[in-house]
Amino acid sequence: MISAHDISRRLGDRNIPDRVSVEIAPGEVTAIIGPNGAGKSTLLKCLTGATPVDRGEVRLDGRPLGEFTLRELACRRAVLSQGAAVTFPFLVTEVVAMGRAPHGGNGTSFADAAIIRQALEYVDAWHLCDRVFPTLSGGERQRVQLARVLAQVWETQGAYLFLDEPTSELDLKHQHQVLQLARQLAIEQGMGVCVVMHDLNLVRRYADRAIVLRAGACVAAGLVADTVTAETVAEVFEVAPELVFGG
Amino acid sequence: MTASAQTSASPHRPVVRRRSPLPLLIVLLAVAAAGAASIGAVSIPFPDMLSGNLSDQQEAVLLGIRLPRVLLAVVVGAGLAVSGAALQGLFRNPLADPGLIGIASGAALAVAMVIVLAGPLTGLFGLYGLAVAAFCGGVGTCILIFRITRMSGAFSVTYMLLSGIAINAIAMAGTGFMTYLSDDQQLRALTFWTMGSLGGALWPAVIVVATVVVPAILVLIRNAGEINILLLGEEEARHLGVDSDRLKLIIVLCAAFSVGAAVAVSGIIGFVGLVVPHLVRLTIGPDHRLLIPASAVLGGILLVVADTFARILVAPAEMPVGILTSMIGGPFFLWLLFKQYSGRFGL
Repeated sequence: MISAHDISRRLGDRNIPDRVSVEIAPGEVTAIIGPNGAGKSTLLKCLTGATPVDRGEVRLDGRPLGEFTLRELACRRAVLSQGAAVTFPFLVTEVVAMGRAPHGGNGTSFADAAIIRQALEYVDAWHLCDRVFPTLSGGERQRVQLARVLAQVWETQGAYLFLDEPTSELDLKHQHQVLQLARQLAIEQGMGVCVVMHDLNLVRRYADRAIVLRAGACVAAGLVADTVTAETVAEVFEVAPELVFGG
Repeated sequence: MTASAQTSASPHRPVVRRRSPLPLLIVLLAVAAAGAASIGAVSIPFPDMLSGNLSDQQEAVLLGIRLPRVLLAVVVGAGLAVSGAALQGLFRNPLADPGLIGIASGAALAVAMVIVLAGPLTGLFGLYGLAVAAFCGGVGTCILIFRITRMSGAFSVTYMLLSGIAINAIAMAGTGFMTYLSDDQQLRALTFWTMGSLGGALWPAVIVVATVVVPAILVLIRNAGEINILLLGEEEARHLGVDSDRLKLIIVLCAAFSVGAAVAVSGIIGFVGLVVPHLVRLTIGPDHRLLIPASAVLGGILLVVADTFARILVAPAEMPVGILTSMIGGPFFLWLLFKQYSGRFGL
């Protein structure tokens, strides 16, 4: 369980996140949603420990994040950030192999090779394995980066997976495939998956819980059916509900 | 997960491990060094060198002049090439070079200030003094560029190169001012530094540079796996358990130490740090575990060869090797820009 209790982070003259308390439970997919600038990515960064909080505390299984070494954390949770760019001509397999680094592997062992292959197959990118990473298209890069993140927590039971807009550059088929995969990991491996996403239809289809943010504050949190409602859509996203829920 | 594990249980292709080019490079380095040691005003044929069948004059030239010079070229070349490779990793940008982004000229300015303001420093102590000054200039400049480049949010090539132009201009102005203040003897020393030459090679210089450059290279090789991961981005590296702040500090210190030591004994020898890692990357890829040692050896080879040409092209005079490396490196840099413009390799 990753739990944040009453966390705030000062950003200019505002707090983002602003006194937010949330929990990412194992075995579930939790979506963080909200309009642009609501602080979705910042909340995700606070939950992963990438960004320090000015108030409150984030704990992993009851232990504050600050007490873990970077390596311990890396073995417990993997993070797919937005727009991670690799400009050097690494091969796709080399990029995915970096995901094995926290476990002391350099990607050359038989076991690591198997994991790298499976991770790439999972995101439908094994056919790219011999390609040079910077020559891939945006969507292909995103899938390979996802494979790297998957390889990082592959055999770890009860690991956590943080994905910041993992589907932003994917076509429709791969959007569904990636989120399906997130669900599957949650159910089969008891992973706690936390996804920042925009498409409420995908949220309703694949997420168990949702955290709704507006201007840094958490306006709703809980089961998707209770949080992604006509009222939230109208109020938080300022969109007519029928655009989301159909006529 | 289990379903997939079964379907792909057939033999997996392990991650391609590229073959190490080191044995070949080391042989080439030995050949280049032997060639360089035998060529010159006093010819020392290689067979005689091996059999020890040398005249007194040949022996004096070999031990007192050629050998230290060749070794200095190897160490300086290795130091410059490796610091180029490390800085390119730090800036996540293959166009970083200690000369281009101003680290070398920052170091040279510090050296110029010491020469002009502190008076003559000689011997081992003086050399270390100059090396320390060059190191401080190098570290200061490197941190400054790092800060400026990061101000734009992401590391951008544009900011890095533009701030390099500005820093080069400032350092050049400072060095110019020092030149203006200097007397005749200091002026000679300064000219030598700004053009870059291995002409002053004596054993103390070799010892000073080697004791700085070799440990720096070893430290970088030790951290090479983590430098690879740093290329994913600082935050991603932290998520993968790499302390990126510590790693960045190690890279800056090692690069600045190597460049500082090299500049202190041989002035500014440009483009070695740009060209060498590039050639290595083109042939064996960007993995720093191979890139750094291979760059060290190839840097040594390149500078030994360049220095030999610098000695014989205009014999009996001698041209500063920095001019030669810039003559080759400048067009190479333009070619890189052109290649980047035509959208290949995602520079």
